[in-house]
Amino acid sequence: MSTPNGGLVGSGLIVVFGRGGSAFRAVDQVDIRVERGEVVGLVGESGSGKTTVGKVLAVLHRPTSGEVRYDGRPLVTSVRGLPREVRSRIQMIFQDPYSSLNPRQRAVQAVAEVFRVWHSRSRQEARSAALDMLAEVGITQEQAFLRPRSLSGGQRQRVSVARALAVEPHILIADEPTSSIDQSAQAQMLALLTRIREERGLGILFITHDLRLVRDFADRMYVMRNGAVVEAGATGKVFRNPSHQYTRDLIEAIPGGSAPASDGNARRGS
Amino acid sequence: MLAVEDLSIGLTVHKEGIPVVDTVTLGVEMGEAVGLVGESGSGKSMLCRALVGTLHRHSAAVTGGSIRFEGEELVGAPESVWRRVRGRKIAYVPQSSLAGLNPVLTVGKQLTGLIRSAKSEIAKSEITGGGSARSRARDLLEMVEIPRVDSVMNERPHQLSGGMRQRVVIAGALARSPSLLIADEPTTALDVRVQARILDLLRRLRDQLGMSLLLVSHDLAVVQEVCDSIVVLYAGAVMEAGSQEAIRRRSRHPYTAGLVAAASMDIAGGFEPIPGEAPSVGAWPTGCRFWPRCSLTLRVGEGDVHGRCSTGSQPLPVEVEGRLTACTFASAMSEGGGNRSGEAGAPG
Ligand SMILES: Nc1ncnc2c1ncn2[C@@H]1O[C@H](COP(=O)(O)OP(=O)(O)OP(=O)(O)O)[C@@H](O)[C@H]1O
Ligand SMILES: Nc1ncnc2c1ncn2[C@@H]1O[C@H](COP(=O)(O)OP(=O)(O)OP(=O)(O)O)[C@@H](O)[C@H]1O
Ligand code: SF4
Ligand SMILES: [Mg+2]
Ligand SMILES: [Mg+2]
Repeated sequence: MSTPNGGLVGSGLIVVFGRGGSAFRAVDQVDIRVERGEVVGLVGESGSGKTTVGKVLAVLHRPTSGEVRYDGRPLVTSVRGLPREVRSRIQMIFQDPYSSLNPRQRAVQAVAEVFRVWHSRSRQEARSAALDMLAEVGITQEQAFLRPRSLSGGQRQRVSVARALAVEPHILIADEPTSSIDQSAQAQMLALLTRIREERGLGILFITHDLRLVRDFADRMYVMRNGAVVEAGATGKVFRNPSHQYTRDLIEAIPGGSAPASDGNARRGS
Repeated sequence: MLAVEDLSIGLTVHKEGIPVVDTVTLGVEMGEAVGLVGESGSGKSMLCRALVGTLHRHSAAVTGGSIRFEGEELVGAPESVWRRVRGRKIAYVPQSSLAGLNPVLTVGKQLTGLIRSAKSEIAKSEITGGGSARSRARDLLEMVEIPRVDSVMNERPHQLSGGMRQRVVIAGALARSPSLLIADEPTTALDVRVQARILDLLRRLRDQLGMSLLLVSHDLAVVQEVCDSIVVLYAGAVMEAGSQEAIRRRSRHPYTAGLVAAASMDIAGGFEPIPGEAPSVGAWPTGCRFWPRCSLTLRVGEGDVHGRCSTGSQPLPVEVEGRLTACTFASAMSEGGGNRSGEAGAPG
């Protein structure tokens, strides 16, 4: 299957953890695709395999079988073996922001490093670009000079988003990127992601347990259960006509939840 | 059972003395569930750490006030007292679940270790059934709805999904039948259905065992689910405190009103219920800390920030219609106009 827009495609993905009697299939025959410029929601019960699929797509975890292609080219090796160019195209924001930040680096250093290493900016430029990027996710100058230990949970989450965006990836795999932040900060971050998607054609795999976010931001969505994709399609369609009980339950549980006005992202560009 | 009075917390390194929590008073009665809400960076986690005596690990210390737990003063208490209280009587679910788990031990080892270390036999069997420590550990995991319990018992934290890890930490906190559970954003990795069931579990433990609960969340909906009363924190200070009902339906503080409005709002709507950003630690404005974002001050100041809001110090909470409100013009909120909580009218 070719992906003219330079998409990220995982096909026939299987991930087995453990061996012998305790072997456990965390991901079971998953086909998934994210193209540039689109937001794809990935939802599912806790433990259903969302993060594992995300890591496989970000080439951070090797699937037991199946393959991942980007721009039509297979990505089979571990991250270190990939060409630098491809590595910078796909970024992942991790579910636990604490473990993904270097405890010794101040927020500004963590982001400036990206500008220096990936975009060959001078020290000075990198620093000011980093402060700008951090400001966009709502991190003030003062907070930018703190180390992860001194940042609050929500601040940490925003720093790891800033760091991933600084790479200027084509595809962003965002694993619960707004779970620790309040509504205002959430709105700010989603507006930022929407803007980058429009300006640079960023494609986003949005892993979340919050169906409201999927309803409002995703063009398409996948629902996982026990390692398998049990439902996939345009967001509007899935919301209007969910075929799986789990999806129905989740939609019903949304406070004031209902279907979006049209297929895909109803509020794009607003 | 827990009485926090005029508690202040300050940083200890680099920006020494800079306050992160300022003159906070709050209480939790036996069997009561209190919700602590406020925007990111308002000092919620710092306050929790003070209650379990771990501020020093975050370059901070109590700089004033008192924390009395079951009649005993905890501020300045020696480590021997903390060892008796922390984890046993006051259990803590930290915001980062990795911080709450030992990375090298299996889930089973961690839970059985906690269960065995519980002081009395009664404590051991209150929450879980009888039997060996291992079977109690399994009971706890089932209570928090961990799938494939048998294999999870033999797994280490990095082998668990985010939501599973979060629930294992909750199970660990409950393992010693604490009398007070402090839970810092305990359900952020869970979908609404599992979240509702975990909150329901906490509510049941409160009802059946009289366990008290201090629940921290950035999500007002979560707090409303379980809490009898709510404390609203902004820039380290209590803005409003009162019964859940009073806070949710008839807040008298413009910041609370904004939070309530935000909770019922559509994220994609692009509507900002509280414009602007919360100030950083060390950059709190003089006067009421909320004035740069407050709409009420513009109303009472007839278009300008009212002089009484932007000068002096943070107003202390005073009783206004059965709740504590830290706003000089709180009574103006009840006259409508600036009060947006009415239209927010969160359902149920
Ligand atoms: N490194 C690992 N070793 C063994 N099992 C693992 C490992 N990583 C994940 N698993 C298991 O795979 C399953 C899927 O985990 P995953 O983290 O992908 O779930 P998830 O859908 O992201 O859940 P959540 O919403 O709770 O984050 C879980 O049962 C988990 O215990
Ligand atoms: N060493 C430090 N230097 C400067 N500021 C610090 C330091 N340690 C903590 N802070 C600041 O103290 C404030 C309170 O942090 P806290 O973790 O209590 O926030 P919170 O209310 O729990 O937020 P969240 O909802 O995002 O978790 C934050 O703004 C944080 O950046
Ligand atoms: S004291 Fe003034 S600035 Fe503060 S909340 Fe009340 S009206 Fe607003
Ligand atoms: Mg996950
Ligand atoms: Mg916190």
